[in-house]
Amino acid sequence: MSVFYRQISRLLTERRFRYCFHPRIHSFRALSQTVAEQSFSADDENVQKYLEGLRREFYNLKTMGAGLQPSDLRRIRQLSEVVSAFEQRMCVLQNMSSLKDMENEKDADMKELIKEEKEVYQNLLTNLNKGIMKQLLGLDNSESYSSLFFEITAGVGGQEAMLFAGDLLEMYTNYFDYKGWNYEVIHADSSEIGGLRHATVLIEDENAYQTLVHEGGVHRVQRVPATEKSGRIHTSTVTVAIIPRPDDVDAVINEKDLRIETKRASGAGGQHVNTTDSAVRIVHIPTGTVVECQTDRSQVKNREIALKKLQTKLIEQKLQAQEDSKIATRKAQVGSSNRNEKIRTYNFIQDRITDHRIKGGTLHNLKGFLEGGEPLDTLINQLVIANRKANLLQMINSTSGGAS
Amino acid sequence: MNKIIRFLNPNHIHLKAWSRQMCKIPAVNAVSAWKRKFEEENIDDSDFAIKCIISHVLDVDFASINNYNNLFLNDEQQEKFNKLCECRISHMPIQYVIGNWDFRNIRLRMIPPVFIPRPETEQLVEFIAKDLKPSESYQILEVGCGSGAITCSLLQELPEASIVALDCSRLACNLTKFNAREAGVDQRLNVIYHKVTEEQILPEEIEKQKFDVIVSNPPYVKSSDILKLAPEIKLYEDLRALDGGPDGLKIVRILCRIAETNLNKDGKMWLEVDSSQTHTIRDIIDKKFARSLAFLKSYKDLFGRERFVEIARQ
Repeated sequence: MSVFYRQISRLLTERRFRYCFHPRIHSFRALSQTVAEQSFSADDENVQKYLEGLRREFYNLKTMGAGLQPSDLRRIRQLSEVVSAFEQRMCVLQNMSSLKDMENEKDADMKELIKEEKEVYQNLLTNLNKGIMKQLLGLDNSESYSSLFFEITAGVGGQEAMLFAGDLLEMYTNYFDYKGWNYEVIHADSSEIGGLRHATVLIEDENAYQTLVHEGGVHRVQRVPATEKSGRIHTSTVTVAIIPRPDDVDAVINEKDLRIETKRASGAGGQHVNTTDSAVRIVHIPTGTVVECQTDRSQVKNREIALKKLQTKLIEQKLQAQEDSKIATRKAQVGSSNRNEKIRTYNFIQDRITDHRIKGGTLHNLKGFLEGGEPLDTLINQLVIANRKANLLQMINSTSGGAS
Repeated sequence: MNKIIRFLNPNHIHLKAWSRQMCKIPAVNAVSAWKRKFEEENIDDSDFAIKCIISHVLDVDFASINNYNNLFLNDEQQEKFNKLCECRISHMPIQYVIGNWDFRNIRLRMIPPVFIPRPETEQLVEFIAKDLKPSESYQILEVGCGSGAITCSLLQELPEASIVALDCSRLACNLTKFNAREAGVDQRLNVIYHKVTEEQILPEEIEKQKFDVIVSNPPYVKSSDILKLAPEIKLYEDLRALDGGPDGLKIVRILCRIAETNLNKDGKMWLEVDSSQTHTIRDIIDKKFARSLAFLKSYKDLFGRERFVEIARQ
């Protein structure tokens, strides 16, 4: 029995050890407390049913053998920890019940020993329960994409909205650097006074979608704009959209379908002319999609960039078509917020940021927040966890509903 | 005094911003004045040229300039800007005005009157590089290297290849050497000053040498068209790089003879030509060089015109 205890306790210390170094531990801790407050624990009958469901799913997948898809393998990896914790918990319960059978023991030493063992098990159980709940919250049911389009568009508020859109783009690109993601600003349409009308960023990272999905929506800013002379406070909005790019969606561009318009395109070309204006405009004839690029001094490079833009646009169009059919299911799964309502307010006068979707979502030090480092990361993690919790509750309840 | 203290406080105003403010004159002002003048004088691509000059004078990346709002010129920069705009308004090509131009991954020095590489030629290099393996040590001959654009890019993209480059202008030879040194590829390059003529086709030292690839962007403009060219070209560029004789194919014919005698078996010759010439070249090869050469294919440039020909030694 003590061998078993040692095994379990080693496992637990390892597990605890791992959590100590888990980057999200701080926000997790706060959340697991609120979970406990809501009497939402591994003891709960519905949670038990849900866990049993996960265990069955895990073993079904494991016994599938050859037919495993990469997504199945990912799911197995995801589930293995929570399932093993759940099984350990069952073991502990079994041992506890066998201890109960020995309660009639008369010998005082024995009684003392039994009492000690009982305490140890009780501790183990509590720790396991906590661990399981953390695991469940960490369990990721959202879809995963290897890349996504991140779009920022200035909303209501004219130039001021554009200025703030520029600020947000800077904040987010800093954040992508902070996370070490691979990204590329594919398109940025800036306004005359240095603001931003619209920008599209392509991010290539497995974790980016799950992290950023809750950033999609209307961001509201309240401040005295740089353009305002009489010192009035304006309220403007900027929208952020997260558009996943599934791996299987690709746009094949046929050279024949392109009409390329440049200053150089007319006349003889080659040695006969030395027109340098490098702006390139490409029309994709079948879809009527038009892209332009005059970023670079070289026409050849502009053409490459324009073609990339065109591909992005065509993929976006394809995705939009897919999106319409997928949107309902995705909303149910990730609980994506309605894009028509504001999700966050940046109030410069009070130097605060308020996220309207979570309790206690108010932070201070706007300047630091707009640098896109740790404060933003912490808030995003809070949102991810809050969202998972909501999903988990929903799923657990639906499992119990299905069973009864 | 207060102002100075404020400037010196690094938290208050960024040093760069400070120097900008001290040195006055927003770029917008200088730009709009010259833009009007350029338009009056019908200078081509005036917006583009001004942006090139601004980025050159301020030493900032062309692609990073969206507008001129936050850019300022100090006295020295203003003077330089005005001087370069004067050059442009006298129809000097922008590449000579700012003294450098990008060709694929290389920034080349540009000195008048050495021929300015055109964007089409970047594609010629792309076709050749795609056709060859970077790991093999090809012997390549370029006829008419000009600023060294093709030679330097090929050497850069084919790290084992070596090139013999010919040009009939001493200045072009020197510029090719300079650009190759700048690109760090001069070790595998031999530049020979030589004029390719019917009588002396190749310089003696390489007459017997065999090559795997011959590449050339030979002069292909008809002599009668030369005077119709824009002043940028006919006043500033070395016309020897453009004038291809009565039908524009004078040098192309000689190049076919070089391919016949100096290409290895299965070696290839790549040429940039005028879109009207590809059929004639096919005829020349089929009639006069049928035994030794084969016209493989012609390719379109990025503007959709027949521009490049691929010829093989049989």
